[in-house]
Amino acid sequence: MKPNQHKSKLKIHAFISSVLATLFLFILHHLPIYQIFIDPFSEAIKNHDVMDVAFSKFRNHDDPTLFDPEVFIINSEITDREQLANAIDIVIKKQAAVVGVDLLFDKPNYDKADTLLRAALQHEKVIIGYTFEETQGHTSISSDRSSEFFSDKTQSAFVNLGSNDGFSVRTFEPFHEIDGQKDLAFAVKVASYLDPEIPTILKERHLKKEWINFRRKQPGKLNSIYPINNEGLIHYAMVDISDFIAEANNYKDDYFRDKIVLIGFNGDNNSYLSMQDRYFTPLNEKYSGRSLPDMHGVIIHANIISMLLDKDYINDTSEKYLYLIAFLIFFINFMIFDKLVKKNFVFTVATARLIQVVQFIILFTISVYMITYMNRKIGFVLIITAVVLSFELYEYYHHRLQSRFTKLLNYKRTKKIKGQK
Amino acid sequence: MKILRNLITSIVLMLTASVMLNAQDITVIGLEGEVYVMHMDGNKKQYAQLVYGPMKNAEMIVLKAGSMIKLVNEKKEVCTINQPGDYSISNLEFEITKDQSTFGKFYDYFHSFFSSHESTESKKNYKNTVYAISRGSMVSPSLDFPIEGVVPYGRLLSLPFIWTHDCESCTYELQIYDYSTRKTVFSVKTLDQKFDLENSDKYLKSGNKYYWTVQIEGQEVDTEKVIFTMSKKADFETTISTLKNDFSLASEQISEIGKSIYILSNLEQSGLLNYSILYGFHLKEKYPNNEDINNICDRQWYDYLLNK
Repeated sequence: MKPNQHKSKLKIHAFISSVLATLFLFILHHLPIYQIFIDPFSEAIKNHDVMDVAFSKFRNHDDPTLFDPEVFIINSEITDREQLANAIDIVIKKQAAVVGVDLLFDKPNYDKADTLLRAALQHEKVIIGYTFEETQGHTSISSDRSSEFFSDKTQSAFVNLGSNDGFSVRTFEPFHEIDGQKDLAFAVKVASYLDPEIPTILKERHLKKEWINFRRKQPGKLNSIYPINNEGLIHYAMVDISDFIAEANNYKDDYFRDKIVLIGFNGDNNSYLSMQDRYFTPLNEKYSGRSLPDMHGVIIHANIISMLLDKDYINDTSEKYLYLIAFLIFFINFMIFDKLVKKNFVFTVATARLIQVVQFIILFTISVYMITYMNRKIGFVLIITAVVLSFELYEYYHHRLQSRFTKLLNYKRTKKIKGQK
Repeated sequence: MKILRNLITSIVLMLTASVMLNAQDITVIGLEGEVYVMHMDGNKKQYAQLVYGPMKNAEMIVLKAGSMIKLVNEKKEVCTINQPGDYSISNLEFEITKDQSTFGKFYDYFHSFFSSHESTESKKNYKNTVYAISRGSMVSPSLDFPIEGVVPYGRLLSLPFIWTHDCESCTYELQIYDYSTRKTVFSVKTLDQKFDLENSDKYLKSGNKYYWTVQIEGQEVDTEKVIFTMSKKADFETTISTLKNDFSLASEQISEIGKSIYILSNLEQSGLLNYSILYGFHLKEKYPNNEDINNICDRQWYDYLLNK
């Protein structure tokens, strides 16, 4: 056989093998059964994402431009309703664009403090958070909600965030249909006061869920520890509610103009860390193994707001491109492995594994680089599965299928030549 | 003429320099603790507490101990100060924040894979980072006095607050709240498990309802609350003397112990247990060596606390 003919045949086999391998990968990822039995790799790394490594290790968090002057956070501490009403009145008087209250008030005492808070919450610039729960495909407002005494006649938005394990927050839904009505996420509703285009932009992106582009860490002196915010970076202005009220006169009458004020829990005092309303995010400095949750819910909302205002969205790579990349990996690896096998190295398998490790490093670097600097998320698990399976699938094709396909190709070729004669 | 020209030039130069310095667009992006900013209002110095955001027309920053400030100028250069002192704005030194190169970050990341790692099963991998010690009993302090009910208003202007808790190094915060407004009317930190509220009539008004709690500093413990009402009149002494007179009329020959038992039980039966305990304190002070009186007074109080 001429070398050119051999090369062309090899390419045909590489093509057939890659198509079959990609199909196998597609079936593996779309099997309608609980995948832990057949895909333990994905299940094991469910709590991890390339995003975690990229955001925590590769981004420059000390960049002074990360400080967001448009968002001002008031730590509610142990909620004193009269203090809260007072703080809302102050920021409204000082021309805040909007006040987002990330707190639930479930039991009214019907006293003076409650009456004042109710009046403050009813201001048109105040948005109060609520949660929804999904049961058997139906979504309804959670029973764990603010009493109607407070939530009646107030503007509200849902505060639910997306997690795949109940602890790590990486996504949020901009819109959700609740009891037949499409409602806005808390961060979307709050941010739209400053930029009314935001809901339209999000609708045009046609995504049910958005990745949260975490850039800003949990502020607060007590949080200046590993793995929360070891460098003690401050990306949001945050003050405790008691200090804010005591020092309200230091803020000029228009200090909050064009500013979003978020009121939420960030710890009840300056003596010890509170673990309430605290979650894992990709900014956690310890991205693998057990760690301390690094961010309070209200700072997560602030990160979403900053992302929306900066139009700093993370774009997914479509699944069809991922399968195309997987196909290319299978194709290239088929050619490489075939050469290795034909040269009959002593350490063929070891060399193949070394090539896979190098490919892992290259693909990982590309994935991290893309998400860190280009806001482009590549489905790393799928393409790395292609790398991992490529040698085994090559061997299977080489030993079991290649001769059959060769016969088939030869038969067709002979038939074609006979036809020509 | 030459002198005048030089003078005008100097003034113009000084003004330009001053305007240029003040025109520096400095923004506060990090703030912790007590930091003040000084402005000049004519010849008058004006100080204000610093807040986040642009710093306009500031001449000087005053940092108190334990405070920190992070500033950024229009060139996105950063200045961080964390030592107490007075800092002139024109003398602040800003510098560019340096970030490691992308290549460097990837190199460090992959290099970390090849550093020697002990097997997770190896004992060498275990570090002494678990501090297996608890902070003693973390039950909430038991509030012993005043107990629920009426508390005599203006009684000698001093009212004791007593609690018990099994901790020798705890700092307690006694807090008294107005029952209707939930506002704190009095708060104090102490290492003791007793606090005498002097001039109690200043904080606790006659006829008003209050509740008190004791919190342990640095501990998240559910605290007990005791609701009490101040009597409408300053009637402690008059109530005791009325009972004493009644008893004297009935029998003049009776002992001091008998008198005490009569008054204590009468107060208890009238629902004035706080009066009774307070009177017990008074008796114990008056007769420190009389074991019988001491036992009677303690017994009545402890019985209540045990059955609480």
